[in-house]
Amino acid sequence: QVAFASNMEHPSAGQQVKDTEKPLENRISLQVNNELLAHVLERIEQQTPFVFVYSNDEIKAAQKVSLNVKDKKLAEVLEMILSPLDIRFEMINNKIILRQGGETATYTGVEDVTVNGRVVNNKGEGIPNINVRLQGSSIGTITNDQGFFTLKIPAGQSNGTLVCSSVGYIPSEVGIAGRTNITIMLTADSKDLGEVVVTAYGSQQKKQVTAAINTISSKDLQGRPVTNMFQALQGQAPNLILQQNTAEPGATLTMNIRGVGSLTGNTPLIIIDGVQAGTTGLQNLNPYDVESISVLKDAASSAIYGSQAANGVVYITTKRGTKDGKPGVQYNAMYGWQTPTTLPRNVEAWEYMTLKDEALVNSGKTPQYSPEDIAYWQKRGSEPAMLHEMLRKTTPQQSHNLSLTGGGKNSSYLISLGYLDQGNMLQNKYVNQDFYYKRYNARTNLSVDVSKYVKVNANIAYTKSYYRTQQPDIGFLMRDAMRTPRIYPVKDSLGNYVVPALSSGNVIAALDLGGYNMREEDNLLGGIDVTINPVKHLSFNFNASGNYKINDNISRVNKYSYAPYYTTANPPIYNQLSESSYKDRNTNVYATAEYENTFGEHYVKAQVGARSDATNEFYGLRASRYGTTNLDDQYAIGGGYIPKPDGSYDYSSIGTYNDITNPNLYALNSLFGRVNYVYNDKYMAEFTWRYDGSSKLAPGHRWQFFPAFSLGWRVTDEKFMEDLKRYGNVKLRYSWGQVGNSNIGGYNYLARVTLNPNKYAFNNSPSQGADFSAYNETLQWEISTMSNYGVDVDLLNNKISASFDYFNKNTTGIYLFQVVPGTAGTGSSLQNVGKVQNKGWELSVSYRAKTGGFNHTLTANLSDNLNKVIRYGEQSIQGSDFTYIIKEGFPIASYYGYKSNGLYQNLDDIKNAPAVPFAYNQQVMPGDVRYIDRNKDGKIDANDRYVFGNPFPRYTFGFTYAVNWKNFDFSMFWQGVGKRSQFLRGDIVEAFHNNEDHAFVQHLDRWTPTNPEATYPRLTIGTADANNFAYSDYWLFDTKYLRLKNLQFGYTLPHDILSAIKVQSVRVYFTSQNLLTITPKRFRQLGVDPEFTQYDDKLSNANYNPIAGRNYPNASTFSFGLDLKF
Amino acid sequence: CRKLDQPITREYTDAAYWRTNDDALAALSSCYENMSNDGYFFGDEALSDNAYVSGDGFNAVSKIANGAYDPSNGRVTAEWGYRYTCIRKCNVVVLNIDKVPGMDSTLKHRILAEARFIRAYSYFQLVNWYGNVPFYTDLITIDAAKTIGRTDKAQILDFIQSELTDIRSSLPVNNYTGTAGGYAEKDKGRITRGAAIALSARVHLFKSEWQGAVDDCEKLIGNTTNGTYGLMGNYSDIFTTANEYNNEVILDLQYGGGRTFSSQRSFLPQTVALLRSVLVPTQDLVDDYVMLNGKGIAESGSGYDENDPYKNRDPRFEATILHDKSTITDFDGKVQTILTQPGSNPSTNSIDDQGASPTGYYFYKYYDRTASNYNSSLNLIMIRYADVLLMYAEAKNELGQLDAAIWNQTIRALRVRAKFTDAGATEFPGGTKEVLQTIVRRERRAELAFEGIRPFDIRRWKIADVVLNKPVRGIKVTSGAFTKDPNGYIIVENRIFSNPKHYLWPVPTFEHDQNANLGQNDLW
Repeated sequence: QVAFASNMEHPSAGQQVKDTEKPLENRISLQVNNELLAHVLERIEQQTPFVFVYSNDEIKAAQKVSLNVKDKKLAEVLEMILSPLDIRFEMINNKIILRQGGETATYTGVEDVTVNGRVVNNKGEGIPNINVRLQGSSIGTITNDQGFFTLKIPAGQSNGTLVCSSVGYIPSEVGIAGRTNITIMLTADSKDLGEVVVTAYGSQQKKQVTAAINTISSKDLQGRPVTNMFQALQGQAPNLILQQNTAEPGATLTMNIRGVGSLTGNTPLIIIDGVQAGTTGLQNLNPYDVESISVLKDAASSAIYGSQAANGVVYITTKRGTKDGKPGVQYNAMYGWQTPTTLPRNVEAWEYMTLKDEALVNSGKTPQYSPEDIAYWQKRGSEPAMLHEMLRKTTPQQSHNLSLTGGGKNSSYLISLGYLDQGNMLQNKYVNQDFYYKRYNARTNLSVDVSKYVKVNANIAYTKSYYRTQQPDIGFLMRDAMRTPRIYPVKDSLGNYVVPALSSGNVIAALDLGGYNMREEDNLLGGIDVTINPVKHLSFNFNASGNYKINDNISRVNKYSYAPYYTTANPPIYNQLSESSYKDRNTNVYATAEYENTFGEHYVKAQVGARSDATNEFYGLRASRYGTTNLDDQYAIGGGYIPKPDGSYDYSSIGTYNDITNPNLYALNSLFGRVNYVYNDKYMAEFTWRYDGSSKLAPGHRWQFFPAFSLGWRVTDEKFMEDLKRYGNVKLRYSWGQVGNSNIGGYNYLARVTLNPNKYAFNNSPSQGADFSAYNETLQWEISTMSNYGVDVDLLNNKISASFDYFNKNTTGIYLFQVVPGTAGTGSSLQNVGKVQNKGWELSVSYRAKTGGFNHTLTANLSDNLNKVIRYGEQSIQGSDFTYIIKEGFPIASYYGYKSNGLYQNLDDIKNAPAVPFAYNQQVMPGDVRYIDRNKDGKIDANDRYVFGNPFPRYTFGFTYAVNWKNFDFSMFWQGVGKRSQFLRGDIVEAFHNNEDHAFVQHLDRWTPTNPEATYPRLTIGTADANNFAYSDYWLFDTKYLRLKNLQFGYTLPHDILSAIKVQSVRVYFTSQNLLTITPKRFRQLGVDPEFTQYDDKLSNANYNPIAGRNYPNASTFSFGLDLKF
Repeated sequence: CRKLDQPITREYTDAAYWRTNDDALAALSSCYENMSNDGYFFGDEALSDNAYVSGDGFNAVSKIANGAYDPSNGRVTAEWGYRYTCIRKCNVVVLNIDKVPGMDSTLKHRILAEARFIRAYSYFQLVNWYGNVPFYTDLITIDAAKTIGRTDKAQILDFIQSELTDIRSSLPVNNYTGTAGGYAEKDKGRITRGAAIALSARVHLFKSEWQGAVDDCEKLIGNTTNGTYGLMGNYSDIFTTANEYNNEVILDLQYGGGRTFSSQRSFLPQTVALLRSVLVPTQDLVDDYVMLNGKGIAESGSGYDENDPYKNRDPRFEATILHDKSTITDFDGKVQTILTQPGSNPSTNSIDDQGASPTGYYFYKYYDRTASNYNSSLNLIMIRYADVLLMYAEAKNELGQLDAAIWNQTIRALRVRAKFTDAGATEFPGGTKEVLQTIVRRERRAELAFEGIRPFDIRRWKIADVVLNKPVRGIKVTSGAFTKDPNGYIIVENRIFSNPKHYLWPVPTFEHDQNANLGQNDLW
């Protein structure tokens, strides 16, 4: 029997193959120059126990070959000689049988076909112990130490499919397509402990990693109908937290790692293939290009990035070609529909009238609608809700991606093109405008081994994005649509847009007629990386990269009217066309030197580097034209006047105004280094340092040294643990480190004078005014010190792997625009104040199992983090739409206000109640919110306030279950937040807010004498709402949620069909994003998506829209996808 | 590798400032800009019985007007910070002007006087609203601002008074010829000597220092050494862009040259300015305009007809307020008739409409038809000569010295200018001090309605707890289901004013939270 064929009966993984069973392992040396093949074969026969058997008719033994090998394995040598000649070899006992490859088919009719192959990793190295199986049969084998395998397959199956799988690798299916020699590349599954992890300025074996790093592989992102990488990352790694300010097409999300420690931004450093890319780079990245993502969380892993990495690092590696790889073409397409996840629901017309009258009467005012009006509308039914008419129910979205990969002997390439077209829900059936987000991606990644000593990687990515949106701000549109009671149709019977009584217009008319905004963004991101290995163990790395961005904005405001309707609406009365252009350029250069060597059991690596980053930000051109007559896009028609920079208008000339402002220039220069030491693969230590100088800080406070170290111990590799070793591995980790942050605007250390040419006017002429900024001449680094305790476990041969981390991060000298008493009469300056602690933990677990034909994968992550102000000095209370407090012992920006205690039910309740001086007429009424008189002084005032919550998500989790069976695959990904509350205000909460005309379904459950258990207080309107809408926890909502983030169901076409059409693989699938969401009832009723937050990454109250439910809705997406490989 | 010392290119640094006269003038312009604004100017009227704001407009002044406020109120909080911001700007000028090399002494003292006036004005507003407040004239540090206590109101008023006296001689008069002692044409709108004297009179009046007020007024009445002032020929002409800088104006907020305001959109009928009308006159104000015969509508023999209520009224009423069947020439030049009664057709301006005036009246004074896109560049007059005449009449009466001569110099002059002809209105009525006090106060209300004066008058006269402790009323209606008073006038909203608590605003919570030394006003 054939030596390898013996494995066919024992295809189980992990079986040890003894040396005697690996004859191709025989090592030979050979030096031949242009010799006849026959002679070469003879010389091999002399060095081995084998004889070659071949037909002279078939094998042209007179071919000449050259070769120079020393102590190489026979199999490799044979490959080297025979492969170029297209000769296949097969071993039977001590004979090696040669056949001409191209004519294999002539034998298939009479006997089995032998397929030789090798399974390699993405570096071209053979992988042992990979299970190789002919799909749909019991024929299989495993690869040897060098990754080679030989498989005999029935002649009729020579167009079948080989399935390669092993724990730790992503299974791969390869069509045989008649070939008898196949190289199969397997990608390491990043969940595995054996993989290589991308770290700062390098990579590391995962088993040697001592810092807190999570990895996400392209597989985790596959088939997700996301429009940008932010969405793709949600829930993928513990304590990588993403929330949204808005969901408008093309919008980014806010991201933080391990919570919020800084008030000047908590966005991690984003690096794509070594290029500092920023959130723009991440937004513009084609998700299909992503190979893997490392999330560097603790100071030890990120400290070498110094000041940019105070908030952790998201390091993205894009796909590359393989050297000596056959050109591969891949096409992916997805087409689907978006629909709002949830929307506020206006009550029926007659209900609105009833509620409005009730609110007016409760507020001592005259009812607006007669019982006859109400009865009429109850009978007639309601108009469709304006909001639901404004937002399309099915909005298309599609993406296409085409990539070409391959490589020659010394080089590899990837070329990819991507296209995304996300429709805008506002482009409803009435709207004759195109609103969309479109993105075109092009990327080329090249790797060239210039010589044995010099390797060059070059990546360049170009993105062109188009954000074409409506003219009015989304917040106003949502607000006005929400405020429209359902007694108004969109258009009247003559086709004119109807204007609701209190509205400033018709939102749909504003969309249809009001013009558009167009933002075109060009983003070029690229870098060149040169590695030189002059001598063994020593390497030098030079990297230069840049991120260049141009924004071109066009704003077109169209004049329109609501005639014949008379209205208080204020449609634009001029046509207006404005353009502006903004440029932003970042360049980074760095150089490192690295020494790496192994001395017996001692492994040592040392690295030093220097780096310089520069930022230029400046406006290029701004121009604007107004006119009462039509303007075309080239400014060709129309008179008008030009706004001048001081805000006044130049009526005399027709033209454009150029505004070239000076750039803001920033610089950051750094020196850094790292030493790694590993003893016996068991004890690991790493020390890193960085010395940073930032131009944004005050002279004398610019340079700062940031050290970090980490330790690791593979406990189960100890002798005394031998008994446990067979169950799995345990590694303990500890790290400590400091990182700095200077992520602030420039020049805060300088007393600056801002001149405004139009501050005041004398004799109707502008008068220049000067304002003096507050400043801080000792502005220095904000420094975070983080300790991390971690344990990694893998059990049952990697079937189960788990990691647990606990961290404690203390940030001192936090940048804060201090709250200044009005008495000081000055603005606030940026200060280094206080100390904030972030403590938390993270758990991630993955499990793989096989039951029958089903392959199951379960992965889960769960994390918690909470910050606490440790030292601050005096508390600071701020906010306008709600108040929040920064106070020692509480999370930053905790909600602050009264605590409610139900509703007053009757006059007796009120008689015994504390006075409420701010209530309407200083008198609360039954059905009003009752506040706790904290200091029991008989009145409700500022002294009765409590800290009553905070907006930080806690117990964030993600959970994925994937299973495949035969050609079917299924996966679902759940994600959510276990504890979170949010303070909501304005229209979404208050019926008839600010005298407006809206009421939602949740307001039906209002307090009345017959509904004492109501969730909403008695209805009021105008200033009569003063008591109920004071800042209190009554309007704090529990916004925890569980969301089916992604559901996928796929089918891979069988290979017998594929071979007929010369396609390597075809997968069709259905995928859905945000299919199902579970939230507490009181919040769910509001129709607000739970992922929204009002905070930006600086914890400043960036956006009022989320608080008032005025966001462009989040989308549920239903898509069909196609993956093709040629 | 880029250097860490990156040049600042967009702004000046403080170190490079205070080199030229223009540097000092630019710092001063910032003080002017912070002296007041259209929001306070117009919105404050709703803190009196003259006007009502529906909804949360003008920083929710309605919540103050109807007593539904506490120290966290947004308007109360904003005013405090706004005034101290201005005070700091003035202090910056006062403390830095000596740095400017070679500045002409006259100019230096003028700039100093302008800044000191604006600082005094800001403190005056502060003490009127809050009573005792922190007082300083240096560049207070933030830390010091967290510990500073409040200074007695009387002490601050003394400071204001002495400042206003001190700076007079450094301030040019309003001749705008550029001759010695006068401003140049380009300086129209700056603080004049007349403004310092008039504000001083107002401070005396607010302190019930009648003789002091008289003395100051006499420096401006029939005396041209401190500026040349008089009454415009036509009352409504005062408030037009064509007549800016007329000789009735003593101090005005400057708009123009690209600086505009949009408040008129909130008080004009929605058919004119295409925005909801939220700042509207009250029936109470309307009722206080006398008849052409000089009698109040409730007086016997007034000839007032409740069914034709706008007939034979003080002509200033028509120049100030739009009522049912008033006409207005809109921005497009079209003459609109305003119909406010329920059931009107069209109903757009009637009280049935959600966006129309809830009282059935609109303000007309300060309507600027020349506004581009509704944004007006009309100056807002803070002190005018008519005010000086009225202050003079009031002070003289309090001293028991209001006789026919003073009457003719003051109220008669105003009434004649307003086109009263009936002797009952123009001739000195005689009577007790109390009778004359009613007439003087009513005159002041009618003449200066919608000019930001009334909210302070009702507080210094201590009548706010009467006039603000009752419902806001609108027009009398005969049809429709409205909440009405027994006489058939619409009740818009109830108001509460607690005496004495509401005579002062509280120290804002925002300030109190940061500085426990501020204490709190009584009953708050």
